[in-house]
Amino acid sequence: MELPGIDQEDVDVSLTDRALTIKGEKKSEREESRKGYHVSERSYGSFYRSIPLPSGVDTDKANAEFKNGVLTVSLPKTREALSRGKKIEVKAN
Amino acid sequence: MAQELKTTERQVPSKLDGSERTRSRPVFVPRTDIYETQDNVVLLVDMPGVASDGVDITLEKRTLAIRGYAADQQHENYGQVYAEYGAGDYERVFTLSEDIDRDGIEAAQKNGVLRLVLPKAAPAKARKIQLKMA
Repeated sequence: MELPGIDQEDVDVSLTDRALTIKGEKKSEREESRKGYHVSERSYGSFYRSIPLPSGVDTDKANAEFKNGVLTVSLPKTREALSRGKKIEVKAN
Repeated sequence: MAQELKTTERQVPSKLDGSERTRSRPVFVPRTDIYETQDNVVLLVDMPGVASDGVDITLEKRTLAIRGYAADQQHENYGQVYAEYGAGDYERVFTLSEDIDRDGIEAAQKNGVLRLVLPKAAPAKARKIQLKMA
């Protein structure tokens, strides 16, 4: 997820069994008095995103990394999800 | 939801120096803020995925060229399920006004945003010209 200009502390990643929620706020830098804008294309404010997850995610081993304005969340699959489905024997009558 | 999503940049064909690109990656025009303070003109350029060593800024005459090369976001042993933004490089060119102190330009890259501070040059001092007596 691309989040340029946001500090790591302002990103909140939470995980339930059903969804991954990422929210945060990009604060305007107001340490100096601005006389005027020539170009204004970037936006500030809060954001929120909730992504539904498939079953078979190992929520205990989830991991998030924020680097150069890109947030990477790794969600490992559970062992059950990795193994192939259980084989069911078909019996003849 | 979809209309709230704003891509960080738009994609255009490269026309920076007129030469063909040899990299087969998309090139984006990064979103930029330019504002003026009492002493400086400040540029904020959104280039997510670009580390500080991937930024290339050149100033030739009055042309300020900003290039950013993002690190590859490929992950090993993963297949892509969904993609909303593309990884690529960034290019944008600005023409500066004449009254910039070119030696005092500062640049910093943090959290995917390049911050360029261009100090305004002090107004040229009035010079008195002595006339030589013939």
